[in-house]
Amino acid sequence: MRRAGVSRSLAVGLLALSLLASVASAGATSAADRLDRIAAALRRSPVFVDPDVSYLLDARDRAALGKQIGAAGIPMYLVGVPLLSEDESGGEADYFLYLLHQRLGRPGVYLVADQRGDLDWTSYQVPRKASLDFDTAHGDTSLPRCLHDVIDAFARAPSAAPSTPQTPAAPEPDGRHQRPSAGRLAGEFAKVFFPVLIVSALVLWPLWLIGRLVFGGVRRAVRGDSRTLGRRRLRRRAAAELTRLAEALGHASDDRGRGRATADYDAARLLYDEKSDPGSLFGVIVLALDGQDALRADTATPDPRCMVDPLHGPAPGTVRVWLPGLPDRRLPLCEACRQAAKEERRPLMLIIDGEKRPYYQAPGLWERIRGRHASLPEDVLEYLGVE
Amino acid sequence: MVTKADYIAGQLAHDPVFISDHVPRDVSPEDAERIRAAVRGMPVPTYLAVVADTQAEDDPLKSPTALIALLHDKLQRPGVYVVMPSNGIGVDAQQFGTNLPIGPAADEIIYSQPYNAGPVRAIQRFVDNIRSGRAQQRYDEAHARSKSGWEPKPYREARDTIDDAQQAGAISGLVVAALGVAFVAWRSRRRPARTRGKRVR
Repeated sequence: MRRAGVSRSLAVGLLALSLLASVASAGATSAADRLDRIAAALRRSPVFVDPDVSYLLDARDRAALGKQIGAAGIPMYLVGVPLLSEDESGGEADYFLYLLHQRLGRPGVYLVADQRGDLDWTSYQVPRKASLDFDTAHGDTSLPRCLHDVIDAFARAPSAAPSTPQTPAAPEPDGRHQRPSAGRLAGEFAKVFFPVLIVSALVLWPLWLIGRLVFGGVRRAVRGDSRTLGRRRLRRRAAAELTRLAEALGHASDDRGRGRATADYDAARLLYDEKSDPGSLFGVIVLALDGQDALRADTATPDPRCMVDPLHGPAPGTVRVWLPGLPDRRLPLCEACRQAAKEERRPLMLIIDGEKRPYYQAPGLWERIRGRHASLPEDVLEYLGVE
Repeated sequence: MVTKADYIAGQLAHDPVFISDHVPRDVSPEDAERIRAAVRGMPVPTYLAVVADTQAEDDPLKSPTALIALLHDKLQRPGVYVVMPSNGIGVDAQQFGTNLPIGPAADEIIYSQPYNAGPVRAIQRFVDNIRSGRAQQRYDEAHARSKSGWEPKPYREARDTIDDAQQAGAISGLVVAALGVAFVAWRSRRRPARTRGKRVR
């Protein structure tokens, strides 16, 4: 599964790469029209003002600037053109000048004035120091005056080795009207999916652990600890189970379990009357349940009760399992305890002398009957000293 | 010195549809073809200029109405003159020597089309309004609906689809993480007794 995941993310990555490449090439080819038009005009004259921005410079200014460029001693090109986010350069003057220089293919200082009269320039392979005082171009003067100053400054600039500036970053491709490809969408999906997956897992896992602790605590506080029986609950339960067995016996005239159930009842009754320690009271409960099991299953040999907690129910088979305080051997376990995790298999506790102990470690009766089942009522009677 | 009006009029003289080359990101060559096809559907000679919206305060021709007047002055041909910015928002039309409901046909677009309809849908709608013969009714309906607070739903753009993909990624990431945590939690509670018993020893 992991290998499939890796190859999928690889495929998504490759798709994204090829898409990027195709977008980049599309951006380069769609820039054809106006650059060709402007380059053609610049081959005839170094000053070109697009009709859309003809208001920038009047005929006299253009002629004067053309003359000034001719006398500057270095090649210069001046372009007035709208620079808009909808154009091939995304409105970026330096990228426009870069494309224009590529299209014209001549060295020179390229100047561009946009629709607001803002000025920008790039120097390509010109033997002049390219850095200019920025204030020259951004004073409060009018555009013709400003252009005059910039051209003048370049003409007078100290000599330097011709250089080519860095290629400016291409504008973001405009994908508004193109349907994104499946690969692109898969990439976008994955870009969010994996971080969210990891972050959510990192957040949810501890949250779950905390939640389990809190809810477990709340449940114990509300319901009381079902794994521990105190004296009052023991006594009440013992009386209830005895009554339940007596009632069941009353309705079971021809049950094969009747003999066992009667023996269970007699032993339990005696135990209930004679002993009041927690182990004995729990013994009453187990005996009464055993008798009920015999009647319910219609057999003289009912299944033993679950070793973890006899209140769970009968255990149809044994499993090799470890319980605290018991030797490691096959023990009867109910179906739920068989499926449960180790830490869930906690034995029923009794409170003996103010201390919690597993019921099978209760002193007295349980030392005798622990782990024995077939002769349960007889063993109890023997414990009580009744022949 | 060639002005914007001179230039566009010169182009319109041999092609009734002029599309500015300053706006390739708004009007692709395919869009241009669709715009030409739409204009061919006009019942009278129609001159359309799709211009760059420079928003330059100094531009003496920033008003489309002024530009249309100049274009007609220079062309001296009867027909419908339409000037539209490349984003398709705000179609301006005037007619010379014809009698079509071009005012409502153009204004109806403002109320019936969303902001991102683009130049192709705008001009198609304009032509359709003229050809339907119900330009005035359509305008009244769209205007009344707009007054009641209705707004046309924007067209889906690539960005919307990408947003959807990212949202789907976020939701599925969360769901998969939740399912994973739930599964691991469930496994840790319901591990069979036999394997556990062995591990204890």
